[in-house]
Amino acid sequence: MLPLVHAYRDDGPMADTTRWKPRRVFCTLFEDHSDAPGVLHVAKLAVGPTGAAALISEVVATRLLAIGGLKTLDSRVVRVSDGFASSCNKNSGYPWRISPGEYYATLHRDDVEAGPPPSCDVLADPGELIKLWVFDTWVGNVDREVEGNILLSLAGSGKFRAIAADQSDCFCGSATFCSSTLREAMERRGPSSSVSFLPQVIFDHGGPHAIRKAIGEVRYASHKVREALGLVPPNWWVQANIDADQVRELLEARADRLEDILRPSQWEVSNGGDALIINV
Amino acid sequence: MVETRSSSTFSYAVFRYMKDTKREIAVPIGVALWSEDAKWVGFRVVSSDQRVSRISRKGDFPFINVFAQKLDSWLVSNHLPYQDQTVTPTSDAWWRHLQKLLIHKTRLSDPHPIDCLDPEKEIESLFREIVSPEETEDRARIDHLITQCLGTKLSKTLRRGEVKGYAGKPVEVMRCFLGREATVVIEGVNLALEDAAVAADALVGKLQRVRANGSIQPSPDHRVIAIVGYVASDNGLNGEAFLKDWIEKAGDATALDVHREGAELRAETENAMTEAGPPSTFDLI
Repeated sequence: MLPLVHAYRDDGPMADTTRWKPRRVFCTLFEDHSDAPGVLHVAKLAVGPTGAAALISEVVATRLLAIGGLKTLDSRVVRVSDGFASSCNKNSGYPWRISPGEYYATLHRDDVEAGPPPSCDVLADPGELIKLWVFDTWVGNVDREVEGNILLSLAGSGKFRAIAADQSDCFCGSATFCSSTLREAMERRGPSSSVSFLPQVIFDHGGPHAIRKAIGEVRYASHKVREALGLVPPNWWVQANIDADQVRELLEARADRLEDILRPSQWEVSNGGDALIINV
Repeated sequence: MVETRSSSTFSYAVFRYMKDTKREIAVPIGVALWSEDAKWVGFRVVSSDQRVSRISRKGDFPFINVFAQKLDSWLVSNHLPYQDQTVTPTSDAWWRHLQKLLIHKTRLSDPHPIDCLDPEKEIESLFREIVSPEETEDRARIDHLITQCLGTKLSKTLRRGEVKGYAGKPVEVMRCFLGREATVVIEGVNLALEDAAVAADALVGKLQRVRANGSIQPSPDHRVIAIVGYVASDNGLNGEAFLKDWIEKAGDATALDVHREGAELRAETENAMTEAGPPSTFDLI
């Protein structure tokens, strides 16, 4: 299981423009909040089957990306008590009714800025975008290029490292993830979207070799899929009506097909950018 | 009766850099100004060659630079992330939406109304007033020290503002007096700072531009008497004496220490004004 924290005090909206409208919430380690105010988290209090699918997507994909050595935010399960839920529901700032139960949260970071990076010049290691693209393709992420889904943390020499910050729309998007079309969508889906300058990064940082290396890392991570799925609170699977075994099977199959999906050999030629065919 | 003038409605907002999110401690780093009527939009964010108190060159400026690049690209593309409706950057709605997007290091205030007559000048003065980059703070301090040296009467005679420089374009100077025989320019520089050489070079360049009124060469019809008040290290010039010499030789100026040579600076200015003759009615900008 992921570390468990308890929602104590709402600190306002985090990103009001995004679908699940995450909140800034101080969370404590103890249910009685004896360690209040605790630590600031960003909590996704997503509801309904699609919401539960988004939370599963966050937990599983974030873990798999981290196993691959990508920088991610620290995941938590946040427990919302009856009292906290009632308080939220009395507050007009909340976009929907919150039920008591378990949700997804990450540790809030105040040392980052929202990406995507404006150019590869600002990155300490642009090559990590190749690995992120390969892993995103594996888990069927649909929106990495969107504002805020990569965060930038300062590395040495005034350049930035990329943090994979939002994995709620993997598995072809949360609506597809909890639908009967998941298998077909995952089988048909091509490469994931990424930053606009990804072709330049691929050409400048290893070309086909860099893609194949990342595919090898996906193969290693695919042996840890069970571990990642095991982090999900059992009731989320029920709420989303998603079969964990099917998810494991789809991920393992897709890991085996990644070379066909990403076609690294196409990047050996000067028009290799054509290989980046994005599924919509 | 109040004189009516045609005007456009303008709004502005302030960019702040979060130094401590938990305690909501932030430092102003820029301003934006826009008008739907005037179809005008602009922003000004502190650049890495400026200093702002509590903003670190290594730890904070990379974030500010990335933000400025992104803002620039959003303005060029006329589009913001998560924006469904078509709104232009000249509208309050565009900036309110941006305010919702800026949730990390850089934040944006609510739009505020402003009676703006000249947006190009206004955005600069808003930036100076709200952000106060250190060059401004430092310049204000030297200005104050020079005013003390000159005394009240002389300070009032020497106006602040601009004189004509190369190509007839205005050059802003700390103080000046336009006489029939010559123009007296009073300037200030801090030679105790780490980047004093840069400041000295900039000052010399400025004085050369003032002298080159209408031509690249100093004009014999436009005599300029330049007096520079400088701030030295605590115990007097300490390794930066060559910069004083440089200002005097390349800038053709008299350079005097505002702390140690205040009386001399005043006397030199009085002599210069006598040499400049009665006030000129020409060349005023």
